[in-house]
Amino acid sequence: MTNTNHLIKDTRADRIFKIVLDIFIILAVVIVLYPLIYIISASISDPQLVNSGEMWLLPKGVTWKGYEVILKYKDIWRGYGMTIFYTFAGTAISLILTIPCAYALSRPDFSGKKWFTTFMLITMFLNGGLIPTYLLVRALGMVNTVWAILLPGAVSVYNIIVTRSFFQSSVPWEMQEAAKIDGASDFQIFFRIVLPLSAPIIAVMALFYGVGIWNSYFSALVYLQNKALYPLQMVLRQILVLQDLQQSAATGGGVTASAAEAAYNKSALAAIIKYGVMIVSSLPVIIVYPFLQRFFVKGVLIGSLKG
Amino acid sequence: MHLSKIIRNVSIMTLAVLTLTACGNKAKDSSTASTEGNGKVTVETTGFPIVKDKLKLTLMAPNVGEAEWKDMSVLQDYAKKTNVNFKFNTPPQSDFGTKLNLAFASQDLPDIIFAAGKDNLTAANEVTYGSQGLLVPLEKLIPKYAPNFNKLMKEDPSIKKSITAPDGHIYSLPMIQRGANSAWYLGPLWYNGEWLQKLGVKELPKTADEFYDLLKRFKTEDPNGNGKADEIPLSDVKLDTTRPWLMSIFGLLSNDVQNDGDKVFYTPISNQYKAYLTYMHKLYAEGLLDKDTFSQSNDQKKAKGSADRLGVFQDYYSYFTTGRSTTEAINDPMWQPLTSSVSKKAVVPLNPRISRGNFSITKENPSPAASLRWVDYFYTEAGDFYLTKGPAGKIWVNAKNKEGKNVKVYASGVNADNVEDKRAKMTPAYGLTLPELSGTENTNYMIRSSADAPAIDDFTKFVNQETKEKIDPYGKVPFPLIYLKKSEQNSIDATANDLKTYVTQSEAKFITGVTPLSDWDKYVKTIEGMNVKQYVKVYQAAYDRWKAAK
Repeated sequence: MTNTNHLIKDTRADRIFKIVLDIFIILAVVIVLYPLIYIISASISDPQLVNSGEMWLLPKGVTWKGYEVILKYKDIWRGYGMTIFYTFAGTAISLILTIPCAYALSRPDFSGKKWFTTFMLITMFLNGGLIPTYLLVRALGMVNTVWAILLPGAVSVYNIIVTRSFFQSSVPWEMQEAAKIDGASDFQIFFRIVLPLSAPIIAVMALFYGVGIWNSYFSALVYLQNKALYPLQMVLRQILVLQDLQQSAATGGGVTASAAEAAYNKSALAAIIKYGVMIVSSLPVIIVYPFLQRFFVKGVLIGSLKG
Repeated sequence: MHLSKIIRNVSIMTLAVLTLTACGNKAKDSSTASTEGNGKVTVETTGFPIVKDKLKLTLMAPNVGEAEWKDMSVLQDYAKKTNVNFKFNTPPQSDFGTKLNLAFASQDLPDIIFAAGKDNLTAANEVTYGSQGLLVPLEKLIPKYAPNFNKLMKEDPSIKKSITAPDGHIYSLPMIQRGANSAWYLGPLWYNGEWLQKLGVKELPKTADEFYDLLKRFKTEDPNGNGKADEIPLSDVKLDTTRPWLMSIFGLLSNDVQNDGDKVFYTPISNQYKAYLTYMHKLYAEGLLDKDTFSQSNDQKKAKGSADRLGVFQDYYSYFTTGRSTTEAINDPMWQPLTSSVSKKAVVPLNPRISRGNFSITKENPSPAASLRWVDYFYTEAGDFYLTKGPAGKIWVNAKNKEGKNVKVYASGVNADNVEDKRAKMTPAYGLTLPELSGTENTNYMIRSSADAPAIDDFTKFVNQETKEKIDPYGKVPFPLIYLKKSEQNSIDATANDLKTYVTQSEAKFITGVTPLSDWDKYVKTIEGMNVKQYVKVYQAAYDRWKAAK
């Protein structure tokens, strides 16, 4: 980086500046990469060596047992399938709701704009709380169905505001007026002028919603009873939390031998697959991220300027 | 604002309200429908089935993740036997507490709350939800519909005292623990037997000083024989699991309230506690107590154990930490209770043998009587065996031994190594505390590897023997299982939290030497400033109630 061909020679200060820059970049890369490499190494190392601290960067006592167990662990794959479904369906629903809503709010000729925005903003600061929300979802008959994961929280007001600001700043109103004069209806303006110009914000919103749904477990925890509907994160959570249960089984008074034995076996299983499932579960997001990243920077920046 | 706009806004609002109320109505309709149509249920008071007409109830219980409850053969078999059927709602054990609170708060209650355990259906919960009428009082129904449980209560008066809330009602049935490990307050401390052998230790330490000397030898004489001074004589995670045992050296059984005779006192400001801190600080300063005690995770501790670096450690069975086989684990002796200058008579904490909060009936239940009859069978040895091991032909079969006696042996394909896996799939009695009479010393209810094999294996025999020698003669329940009244609970809620945090933090500081022991008086003063008087007063009142109860 520092020794490319320059027409003008770097001054001393320039060179020092660049060296410092390099050091910072290397530091940043190490900080970001270390945990990643650690988890990858840990996932194929003997759990014994990981816990004792002997494995700290590169794999030690390489074993594929963790992945073998994961491959055979039906709950994980069922959860995987459900998560993929939730992510695609949920993101689609969210986009279908967010983009038109944000567009409507961005139109200067929409008279109820202020009132609606205020109304929505209120929900950002005040909400019913867990129990009333649960009661509502139950009353709507959504408890223990996929809809409880997809519909409540399908729209985020923050995302609507960001999208609205994008429309306001990057799709000139004059252009839409021109289209109108040429005889385009509102729907035509939206579908043929605005949407084609909005690829960055759509990509960003898809990423926001998609990653959000991918990582969420709480609504599943609250609304779902049927194990077959559990998303991946819920399955992972169970595996990881069960490991702590071993500790409490040893601590808690009056534990029966059977309970202690059960917890011991569980924690042994968790130790083997813990790091592997972390990788398996975050791999798709890691793979998708770089492709959407170029939109990401552009979209959020533009949106946030006038937010 | 223009008039047209106002009209539009109002109409939108009306629409919204209309939609909401519509949903509300619908909900009401469906909830009344579910309680209707449950006429009187006739319940038989003896034998099976319990009800003539099929009864369907909902049951909520934690799931340990091995199998769906509806697929468990024991429950299916019992449903046929009793004619009581269930729709199960079993959230994962890890999140059961959240789900249970949600069920209470939203009044979306199951008919029966099963195996919740004292951490989820706490004593405070019983008092609160009982007084709100969400839980059904059971004491009037028990004599008629739960004769087996009633018999247990008569045999051991402490049961009734410990499960009766201050308003005189019983809201929840406990697990009654008998037999082998029921005396354990928590998993015991274990010595590394190989190290003892190497150092030629014939007799385990009996006093605090002897214990210190042994730890010192562990540290300096290279008992694991690898030539490195990597031995850790004593280790734990934040002292949570060794504290009750180590405090007992100084006559204390918990770092909270404890009763000395009928007088309740708060242990962390007693002189014995100061002696405990002094002793532990000495161990820490000389490297006898693991330097990582306050920072390591359970996994890290176990890793040390399996690398043969630990001398004394706590676990349910020693081989959970050492990773040895059960045959080797027989050589790891249980810790012998110690005496010290402030405690001349050895004492250790004892489990009250009752675990509360495992069976409650809610106001939604159409037949509390049938529900009680259903669970009552589990409070017999035969019923408990049925619940935990299933009917004949699943994991065990009947056989006759040489003397012509009937014994139970493993079914084909089942052995001691895989029996727990099989059990996990067929019964809820795996990894949970259930409403049952748990554990027995009756060899009729033990499964043998072959008809002429002994009823219990060598390891269990060893553990039972150690428990009889080292825990039974010294055990004392630190504090009885009491209930606080709602008002009492409210008056100490904040104090309880503050005390707990401050005491554990200070403990770590004193032991590691961050705070010198010369600051003891200051520490006592701070605690006294936290309204500890009221705290002790409340527990004294609760103790007196417990003592006076019949």
